[in-house]
Amino acid sequence: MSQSRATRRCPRRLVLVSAAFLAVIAGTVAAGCASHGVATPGPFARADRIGIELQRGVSTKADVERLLGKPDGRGMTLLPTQDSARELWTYIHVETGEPKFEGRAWGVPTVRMDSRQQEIYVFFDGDRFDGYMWATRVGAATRTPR
Amino acid sequence: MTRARHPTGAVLVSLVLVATLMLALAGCSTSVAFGAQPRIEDLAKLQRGVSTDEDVRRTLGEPRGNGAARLSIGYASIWLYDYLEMGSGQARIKYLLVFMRQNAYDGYLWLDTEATLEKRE
Repeated sequence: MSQSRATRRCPRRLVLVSAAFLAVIAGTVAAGCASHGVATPGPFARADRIGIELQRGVSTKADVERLLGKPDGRGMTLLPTQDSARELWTYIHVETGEPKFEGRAWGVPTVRMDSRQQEIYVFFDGDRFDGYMWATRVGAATRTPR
Repeated sequence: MTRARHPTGAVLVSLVLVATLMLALAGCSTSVAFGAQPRIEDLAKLQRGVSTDEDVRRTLGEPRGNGAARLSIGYASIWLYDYLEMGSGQARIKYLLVFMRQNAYDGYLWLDTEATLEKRE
């Protein structure tokens, strides 16, 4: 592995922290605002294929889109360890359960809702796939109904 | 490869708690937004290794959070800008991390994403 490859990996933990931050926020959003619909795993049904079907420096954006679909969002990175800006694609999927009345806490009625948050971040070097990261979170949020 | 240690995590966890509380209290019968739109388009005005703390503040505004990182090339402090908008099952998140090293701007990471929200029947 070249030095540039090695140093490029290090900031991923930063991205992971960022992902965790987004996960909690979006999970909470889902708990409070989920729309009705049928849950599907979306692009995450094929997440286990990323490491098999995509090759760093070889696969293209078209290959990623074929595997995971259109991204939910995009971004850019110019980390201190990078000498040029890189593109990233985001896939975020939030699934929630039925809200359940959980009685009262300190006299205040509360509703509990389970949620699952999944995220995939795909990194590109130009048009070429340069790596990925995924994170998942399962938890519950409780809030006071209006 | 140098292993990274991230006090950033503790800072962000604190922010998460605040954000979670705000969202929980906000309710979602109408569109709700908090934070400030990160000025992504102004990043081009900053120069790596040249722009100062004051330059970044003037260009991007006051950060909503702070953190730190140890990278393979040394320590960096992180300035956080974020924005969240939600309503009727949709959420949009904009997120910007600015890296500062030796009192100068040294890079960024930004995201602009929607979250797919689904309810399990």
